[in-house]
Amino acid sequence: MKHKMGLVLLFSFILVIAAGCAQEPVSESGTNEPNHSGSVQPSKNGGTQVEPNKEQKQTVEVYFADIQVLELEKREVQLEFIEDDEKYKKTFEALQNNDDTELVSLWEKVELLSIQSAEDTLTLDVHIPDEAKLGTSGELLALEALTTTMFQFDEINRLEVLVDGEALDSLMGHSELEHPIQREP
Amino acid sequence: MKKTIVLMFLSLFFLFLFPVQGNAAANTSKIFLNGEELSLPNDVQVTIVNKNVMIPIRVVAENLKFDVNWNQQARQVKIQQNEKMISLTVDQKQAMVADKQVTLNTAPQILNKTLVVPIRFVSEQMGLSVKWDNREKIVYLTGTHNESAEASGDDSGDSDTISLTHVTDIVFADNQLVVSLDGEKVQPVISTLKNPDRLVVDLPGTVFGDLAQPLDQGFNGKLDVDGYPNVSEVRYSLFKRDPGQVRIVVELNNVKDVQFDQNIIADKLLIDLNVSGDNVTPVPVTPARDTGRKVVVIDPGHGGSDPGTISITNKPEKEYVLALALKVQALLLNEPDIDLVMTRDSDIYPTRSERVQLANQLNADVFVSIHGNSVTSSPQASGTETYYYQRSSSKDLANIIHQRLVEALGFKDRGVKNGSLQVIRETTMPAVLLEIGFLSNAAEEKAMSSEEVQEKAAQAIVDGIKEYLGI
Repeated sequence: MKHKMGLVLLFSFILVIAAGCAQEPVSESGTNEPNHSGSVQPSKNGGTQVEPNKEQKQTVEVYFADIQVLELEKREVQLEFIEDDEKYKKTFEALQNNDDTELVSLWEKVELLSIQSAEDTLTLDVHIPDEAKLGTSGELLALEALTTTMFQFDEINRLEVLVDGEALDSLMGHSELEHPIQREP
Repeated sequence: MKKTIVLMFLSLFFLFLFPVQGNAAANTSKIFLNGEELSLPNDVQVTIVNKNVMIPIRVVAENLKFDVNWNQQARQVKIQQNEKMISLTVDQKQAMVADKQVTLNTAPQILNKTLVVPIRFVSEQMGLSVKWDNREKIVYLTGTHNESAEASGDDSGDSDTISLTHVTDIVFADNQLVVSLDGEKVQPVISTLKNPDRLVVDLPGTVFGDLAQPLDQGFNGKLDVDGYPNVSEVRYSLFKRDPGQVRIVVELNNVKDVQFDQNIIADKLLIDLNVSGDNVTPVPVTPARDTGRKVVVIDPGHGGSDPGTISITNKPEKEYVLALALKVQALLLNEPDIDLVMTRDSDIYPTRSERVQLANQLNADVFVSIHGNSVTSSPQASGTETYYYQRSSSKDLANIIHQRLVEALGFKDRGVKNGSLQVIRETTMPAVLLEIGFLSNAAEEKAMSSEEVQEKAAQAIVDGIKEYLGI
């Protein structure tokens, strides 16, 4: 545990240095990261006034299933990010990365192609390889995990999930996929 | 290349080892493959041994285009097509299918110096269905898997092969005729006739496929329509043979007029006979549906372009659920009080909306969707789970089938759950979705692959449906 903490600290340190030096966000895959180096952007962060390009920290909640895939369990993770789209991307990645042997990530094998926000809509484009396809139990819980996780951000009211760029009627063939999924009142 | 060599070798084998004799026996049997007559070489003939139709091995290689490999020393012939392989030995009833031993009714033998093999066994193992017309002495082979044989027009000029559509299911349910086809190109020609009142449905360009309903050797059959007072008979036949045309005739009783509405849902043709209300002659009084017959729709999940989930052995869910659903079908076809309609009985993909539309159009009494669960990230996950959506009738049906499934299979009981799933929500009758077990779990996948467990599951589902319907 101590060891892990150390790693996190080290990583944040490197992040700060990197962000500071290059004036660019650290992007892991580089997909659809808007280029905002140097330019001053208006904040989209739910009204909180923050300086552009300044790294922020936030604790977010992500949801995993128990190993029998009967119900969801909440876990908290600390994210560091510079702007919102990076926050969403890291949140999705957190949803994919579970290190608790008692839990299972339902999004682990799904590939994220892009994630972007515009107004109050967050659009995810994913690729679902065969081994990522879940039965009814998993599909229902996976959708619930994704929506609960993403709607914790007050600024997001709509979630558009595309599969290989297409608006399919179902993610995995049991439950329908709304376009977009609306935040439930 | 390999095939050519094998063929050359075969030709040599037959030319030199078994010089063909002018065999003048007046047995002019014919073989039709997908509705087209195979032009058999003059010296080749179809023989019958112990009531089994035997064909020369040359036909297997040259006309059916399977890979044939003869081992002179072992007197053994291997027949291969794609992944399928069978091995037959002269004068032995034991044969091998892949690496399993099976017993034949009639051993391959050498007749008139020609090796003959049982056509039914060979064709069926290679994925063709076989029908034998005893009166006309015609063998009909049909199959969709046999692409190499269909594409064999390279040596003949008249290769205008018409691709025929297969009729795979004919059901009369809720006063509607439901015909399943394995293609959507068919343009039905429907006409009406008087004295007696009847509706004639012609399906140009079709032959019978692997039909679930009975078919005699002359390609005729009848449905049991006991519970339908306004229908005296539904009969079907292969009306034309070259090219094929299936004809279905519905004979009506006590109607003022033969009326019909035609509807196509996915690969199914639905013809509603409108034998209710004003159209029915008032005497005798025949309420629309007190026939005691129940309409059951079985929905094997996914299919075609939608493989569903994937098993721990890398097989798609659609295969498991179809295998199980076909066993349910076989059991339900024996139930005189049930009219069964399958949303799919082959590897095709009707959309979820089409499945719903079909069940609703048929006013089905019960809708059962069959699925296999999977979470590859958690191979420990296991058990049977059953979904309903809100309606208490659906919940009752779910409880009954679920309990029987859990008892029959002994998988973990994950319970009966309310879930907003399109096929059980938008259908208007008692509807359930069964997640039989986890294909991502090694033990459950193994069980669900076994014929025995599939039989048990099928029986549990059928018993549950019957209990719910009070049959």
